[in-house]
Amino acid sequence: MRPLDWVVLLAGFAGIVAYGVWKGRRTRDLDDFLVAHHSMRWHHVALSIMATQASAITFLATPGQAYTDGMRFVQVYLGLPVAMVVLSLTAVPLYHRLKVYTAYEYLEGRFDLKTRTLGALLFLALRGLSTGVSLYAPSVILSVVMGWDIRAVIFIIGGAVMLYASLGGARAVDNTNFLQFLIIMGGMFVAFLTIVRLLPDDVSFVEATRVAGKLGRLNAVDFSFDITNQYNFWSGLIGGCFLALAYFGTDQSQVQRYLSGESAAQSRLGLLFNGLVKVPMQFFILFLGAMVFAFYQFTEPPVFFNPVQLERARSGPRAPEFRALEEDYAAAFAEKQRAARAYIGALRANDESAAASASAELRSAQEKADGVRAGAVEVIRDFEPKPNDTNYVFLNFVTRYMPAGLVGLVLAAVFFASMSSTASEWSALAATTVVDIQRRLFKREAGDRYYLISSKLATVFWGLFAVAFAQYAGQLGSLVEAVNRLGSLFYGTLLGIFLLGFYFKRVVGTAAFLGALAGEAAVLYCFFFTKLAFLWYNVVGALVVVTAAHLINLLVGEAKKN
Amino acid sequence: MTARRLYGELSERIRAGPRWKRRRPPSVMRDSDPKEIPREEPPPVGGSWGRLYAAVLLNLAALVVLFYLFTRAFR
Repeated sequence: MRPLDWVVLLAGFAGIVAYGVWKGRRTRDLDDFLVAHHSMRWHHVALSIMATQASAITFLATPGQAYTDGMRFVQVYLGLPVAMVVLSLTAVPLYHRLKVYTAYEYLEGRFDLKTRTLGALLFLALRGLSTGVSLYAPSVILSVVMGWDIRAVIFIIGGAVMLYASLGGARAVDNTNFLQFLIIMGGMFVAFLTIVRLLPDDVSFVEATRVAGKLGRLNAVDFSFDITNQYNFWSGLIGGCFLALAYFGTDQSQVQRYLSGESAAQSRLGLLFNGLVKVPMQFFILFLGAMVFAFYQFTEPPVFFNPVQLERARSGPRAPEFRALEEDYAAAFAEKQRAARAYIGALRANDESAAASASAELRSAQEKADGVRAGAVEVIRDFEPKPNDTNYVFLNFVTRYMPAGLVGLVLAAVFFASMSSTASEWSALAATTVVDIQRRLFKREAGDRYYLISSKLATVFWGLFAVAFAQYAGQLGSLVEAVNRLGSLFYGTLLGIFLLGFYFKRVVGTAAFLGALAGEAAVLYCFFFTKLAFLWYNVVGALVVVTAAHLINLLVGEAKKN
Repeated sequence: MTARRLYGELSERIRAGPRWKRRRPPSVMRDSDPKEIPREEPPPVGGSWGRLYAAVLLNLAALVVLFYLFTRAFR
């Protein structure tokens, strides 16, 4: 980090916190704190929704995903536009008309109190745990790459978010999300232009792209049907649609964003805008990763991108072996670079047979480099059971090759990405805690000011909980992974309950509640005993809830008749 | 009296429209039926909701075609 980077990072960070506090300074009542008096225009709603979904991990891990595995990850988002249309037709006008503060309030009106409480508790448990992880994950990457203390990073991000989210509520969160998202996308765009500029003078952008494509990094779509593979067209379209329906329709961190819309029309347009631009945006971030890969075909990459683990391997008991592997990797890189240039030369000469032969050489050199890298990973496995450097690829490139000032901008973008999703989560957790638990179950008749203060305190509570969880998340090991998967284990069930509410009006509360339990059992069975790709859990969960609730409804009806 | 009642019933039926078009009786919770939600409010941009929905779905279809062509071109 050079002085100019520090200036950009600190100025951006302080500016966004001050902006959040300033925007939320006039929050005087509960309605303002929870839904900003329904005052947001559609473009605010749209960008706030997108900023909430895109965490720091999205911007760190997604380019790394393209670097290691290609662009097929984009297919996960193919169902999202369909879900946006469905939700614009159903959930958004409904929530606005009912004037609810949380999605779970609707469940009591439609079914009963126990179903509402089940939905609220599911959300609190899942989001409460995952918010700690979403604070921890970028902090660990920033601390490793930048050499900063992880506790300090967690405190800085957590403290800043707590300040403006607890003072200004949804108004502060939505306004900062809007600004943060613009800066994040600006940072990504600048990074992309830098990569293109850093390509060797004798290699054009299109030629570098063709090399990346030849090595399998531009595989954006795959129409083969395989339920054990989540990165194909069908999993993305069907499973991704169910996931997006559940996330945007039943997760309060998203529902709260569009409830703050000025009207149902503004909220619907915000969601539809998300449906229009989300897939191209993900494509762009993945393409950025593919271009980092193309860049490293002409500039030697490290054998492993996590600098801490790399140094540990270099100084560990197998250091001589690791050094030899690094030399082999350098030789494989030189061979690969020669083959890449030969391929480009053949393309320029329009010589198809030479291009075919150079492309075969290129792939063979890539396989050789991959083999050497696998050996290096084996050495690292001695002290790290699950070595994975995907999340470090992009930040490694940024810190090593981007010019002064722009490193600060991209780091600020990573901070903002983490802050925007965290702020939305804490705000939503506070809303659910106060509206669905405290006000509904414990203290029903207190005044507006009482609930406003409770909401602010609840935001601080969830902030402290997340910071504390993040401090120890590194020691929890596999639990972190488990929490990450937890969301996909419960979203299908939540979606099933809401689908019953929206579309099947004969189903009563007890049938929905028991159907939800059956749906959850089915998802857990799939998780433990099948190889089904996780995107399909959402489909299974939702369908089993709907089917089981109908069967139980029949039995309840028969019992009543008898 | 009977004629007046008959006239009243008839006018009520005419006002309600044909049977197949009439609303179903309210269920467990009226607001839970998406069909009963007014959707007249026009979108702030884009003319009509139908046009916007079509734009989102056609955009998705166009993106899938472009991704396919992109994958093929750089394979």
